Amino acid sequence: MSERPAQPPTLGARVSRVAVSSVLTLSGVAATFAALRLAEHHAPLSRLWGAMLGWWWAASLGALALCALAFTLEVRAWRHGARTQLDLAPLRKFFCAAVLASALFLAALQPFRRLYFELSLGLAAGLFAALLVCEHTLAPRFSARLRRGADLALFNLCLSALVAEFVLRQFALVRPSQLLAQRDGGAPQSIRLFGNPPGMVRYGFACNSGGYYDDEFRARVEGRGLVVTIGDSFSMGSVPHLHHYTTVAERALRDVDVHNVGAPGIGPPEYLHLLRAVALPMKPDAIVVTIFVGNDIKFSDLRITRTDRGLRLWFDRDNLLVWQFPRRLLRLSGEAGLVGDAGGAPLVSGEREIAAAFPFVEDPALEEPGLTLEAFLRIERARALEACRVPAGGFAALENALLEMKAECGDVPFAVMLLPDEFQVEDPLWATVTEALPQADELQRFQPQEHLAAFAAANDIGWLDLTPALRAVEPDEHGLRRVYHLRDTHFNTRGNRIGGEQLALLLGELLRR
Amino acid sequence: MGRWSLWLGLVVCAGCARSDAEWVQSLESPDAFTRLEAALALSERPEQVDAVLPELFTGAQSDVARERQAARQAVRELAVRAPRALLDYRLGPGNPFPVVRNLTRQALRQAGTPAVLPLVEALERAAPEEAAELRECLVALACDDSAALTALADLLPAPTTAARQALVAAALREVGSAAAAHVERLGARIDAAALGLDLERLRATRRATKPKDGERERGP
Repeated sequence: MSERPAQPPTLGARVSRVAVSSVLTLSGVAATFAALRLAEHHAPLSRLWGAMLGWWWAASLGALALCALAFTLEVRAWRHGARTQLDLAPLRKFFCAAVLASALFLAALQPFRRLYFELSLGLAAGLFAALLVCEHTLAPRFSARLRRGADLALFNLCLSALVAEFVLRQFALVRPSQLLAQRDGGAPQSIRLFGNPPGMVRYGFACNSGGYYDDEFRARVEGRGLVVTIGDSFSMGSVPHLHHYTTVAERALRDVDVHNVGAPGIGPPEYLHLLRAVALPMKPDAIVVTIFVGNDIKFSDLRITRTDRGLRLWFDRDNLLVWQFPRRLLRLSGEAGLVGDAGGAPLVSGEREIAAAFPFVEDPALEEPGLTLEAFLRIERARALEACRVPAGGFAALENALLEMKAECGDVPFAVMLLPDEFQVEDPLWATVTEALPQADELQRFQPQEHLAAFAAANDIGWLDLTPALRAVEPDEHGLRRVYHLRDTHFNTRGNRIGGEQLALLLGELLRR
Repeated sequence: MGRWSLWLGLVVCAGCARSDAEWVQSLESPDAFTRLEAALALSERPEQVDAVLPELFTGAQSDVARERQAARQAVRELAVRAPRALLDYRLGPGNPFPVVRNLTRQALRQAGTPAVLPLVEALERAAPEEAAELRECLVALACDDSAALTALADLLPAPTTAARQALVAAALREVGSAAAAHVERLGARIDAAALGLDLERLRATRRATKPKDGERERGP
């Protein structure tokens, strides 16, 4: 068989060949790395995956073999005069393989685990090598037009998915919205996304210039104490500002300013950020962080490395906006029209005017539900499972965050105010929640209270648990204490009043120290 | 293809697998999955049982079914290999978690004969509220598994202490008719009357068999 005499390669050919050999080498390295990781973790993986681990091995070693085969075919093709011009098709294939492998990972290997990600690198390499092998073996059987069409269609599909994600992330930067929040976006991003815009009116009260549900923070006044509270959506509450627990405490203490810092949807990592960025620069006499049992116990550990956090941002489905955004829109549309208004009314001041504008303030029977019953119970069940069966070491992330906050505070007295979940206060709700849960016998209703009280005492952290005071309210004829807004998960006026009175007692004690 | 790859993989594993010391270090990782992985890797090392149990119980509550099942399976296997360590952990301070109680009970009940003596020993030192749970577990184990029942009955004759004899006899009374044959078998080696093991009454006692805990295992 006579071979065509080889022509000297053009610049385009050289570029193509260097690019192809580079990505193929990269793929080979990735496949080798994945196989070695698989070998290193074989023992635990065999317990996790059982017989399916054989398929992991098959895929991993197959990827290595495909990479070697693709390299051989590619070199042979060069010898036969292939890629004589600038050819970007292999790079397109590389891109498509990366996107398709990512999609597969996001669909099948969630939640994000670093090890599975590393193993999937081998699969991505194998996918790319397989596409290249197809180009050399199967593709010549089809018409050039069909091949080009398929190539472009696949490339455009992958590119569209990536561009859509980029656009949504950029849009989230320009127009922050809770619909575009990422779970591991970091404290500053969460605060930016969940925080209120300055001047936003809620229950007739305009948030201050920082977006916090309080009057404009003023500098320390001689002869007056200054305390900062930090929290999540409870710092917004479901009541007019006049009835918020920080305002109640301020009224009770008379000579102390209580600055209310917080934003809905945030957690301990964001509290730490707010402590450093907002609270401590005010040089307060004391700092109180509110921990809500319902959603402040389980969160990403602050000690997780920057690389892991970065990978999670792209390879954890909960952080992927092309996945989350439509789902959130769908859920929101399901709730729309079924629940009450959050209170975006015009500015109202004066106790009498507020009572007239928001009659539920005086009478809980007039409260509009914040959620449908189905959504409310779904949330409460999930929170019961998360907060009331925490295994040994399960509080470590929260404990680390609190210790870090205490260390940041230095000489400034630091305290934690624990806000119970509604199912810990309302007995009928607890009965409803546990009735539908198959794991009910594993739940310890007051586990967070018991554990965290001991932790605070052992670490000299000021401690206020609102559970006893809220449970001390006499139940009505339905057995309900009605200290939470109807199907809203936050305190109503009565709950805020009790919280404010208890906070005032705590602050009095802290400031006396 | 899967089988051949598995064999080839095993050969590669031999050279690349992590050492125990490295896995022990991984138990301190801030990442829960890494800790669970380390616990699974070390769960067959008897000397590491105390270190891995907390992570296995944490893993047993994972939101991911695969991780939950693997952790629960590892605890079940530990109940056979190291029932004493499992019971020590269960009775140790700071372990009132229901998941620890439930899973230990399930695992011991399925462990069979190796769990009998450790359960009896644990019963001797357990606080009253824990003793009731352990006795229930022992009785269920004896009802489910005839070899375990034999092992339990064999604890009755001397040189067993009087306290242990009383515990075993109480358990056998709860087992009921199935225990009668064993009491008969032991014959003159025990003073059945003094232990309250009346053969006629034992034969007449039918114990309602509860379903095995593992049969009603549920996900989160």
